[in-house]
Amino acid sequence: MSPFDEGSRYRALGGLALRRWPGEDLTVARQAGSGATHLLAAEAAAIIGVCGDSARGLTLREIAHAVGLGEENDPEVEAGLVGIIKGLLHSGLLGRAHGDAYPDPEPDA
Amino acid sequence: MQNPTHDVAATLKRKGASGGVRLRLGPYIARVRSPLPEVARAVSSLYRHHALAPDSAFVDFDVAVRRPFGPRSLWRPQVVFEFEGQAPFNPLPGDQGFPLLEWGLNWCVYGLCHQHLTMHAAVLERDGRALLLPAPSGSGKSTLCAALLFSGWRLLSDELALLAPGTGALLPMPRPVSLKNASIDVISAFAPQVEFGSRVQETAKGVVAHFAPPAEAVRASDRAAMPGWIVFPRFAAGAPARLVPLERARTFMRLIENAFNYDIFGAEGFEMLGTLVDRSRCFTFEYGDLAEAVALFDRLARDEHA
Repeated sequence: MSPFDEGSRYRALGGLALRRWPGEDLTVARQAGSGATHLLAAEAAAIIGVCGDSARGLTLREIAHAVGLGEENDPEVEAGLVGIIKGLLHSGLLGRAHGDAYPDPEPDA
Repeated sequence: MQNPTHDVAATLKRKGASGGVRLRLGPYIARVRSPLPEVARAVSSLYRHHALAPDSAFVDFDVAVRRPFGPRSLWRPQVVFEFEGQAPFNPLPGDQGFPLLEWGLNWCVYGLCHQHLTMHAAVLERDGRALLLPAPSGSGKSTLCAALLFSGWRLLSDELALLAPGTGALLPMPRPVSLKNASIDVISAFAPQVEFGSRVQETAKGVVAHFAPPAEAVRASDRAAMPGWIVFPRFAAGAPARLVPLERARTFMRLIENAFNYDIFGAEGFEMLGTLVDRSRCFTFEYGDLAEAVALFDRLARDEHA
């Protein structure tokens, strides 16, 4: 089973500060835990936005639906989505929800 | 209170190497001492417009430049920078005393002072609005800054931007302007009235020379400026002057690259830089000719008022 199986749920980690300027696609995000600041593409910021920081989190399918990709069923689009989520997990901006088969990443991971 | 301009030289002479002078450097006070005549001469000349603080004033940095102890000084003289009696850097060749003092004072500000968010940037002001020029060494930042200060812009700093928490203003800290290598002759040609101090050869940065900041810039050291423009300059030989708008999010990330203590400020630093970017028009700037560059910045400032 991979972290991107149907059952995995994702949530934005607490302590995130986001800043976006009118008319621009990019967002800056600061993670309070690590203090790291990241530059996010619009797609990544949208995923963080829809995941929120609820304990339940969203599945890959729910995220795809929430960002408007739900009906596509396109493997390329899904692979792109997985790639962005991997990046967000790696940068510590997104975590796995409580009760997920995989534990939350270590702080600063 | 502002002292007469000759006070730095007179005080240095009166107090000698041990007493030194207490220089007001924007929001900071540095006690500067040196038994080396060439360093004392350079301080007297290049800080001639600066105000002195009274002997009773709290000193932020107590620094000295002197010869290191040991037999080496007999056959190849060196100089060492001291902060509160400790030498944080290796000694340099004996003729590099004044550049070493300046680099040491920069280190004091960006390494030790965290009352302000400090960035590697030149800052100038026109009509109450600050122009921030963040850039690493070798980008043409100081050359452009020097040309602008001889063209009606007020110098706040040629090297370190101090962003104040709370107000979000940029604080002045005018000090001698440092130029390197070909830039020295370029500015000599651009502003024939400029009076450089000694040209120091074979430093880690090549040939280095300083000139004193304008008296009016030093007199206005207590007048902060609110941000107006953030421009990332880059000199490219032969290139036409080109100002290209830069997305604010990218500007934000590039400011972090040029900040010394962003991490120390934590969440407040994120807010401070965000507000700085909110208040500014943001650009990248490439130039190959100073006169053309200055004309473009003049238009930028004028358009703001139109």
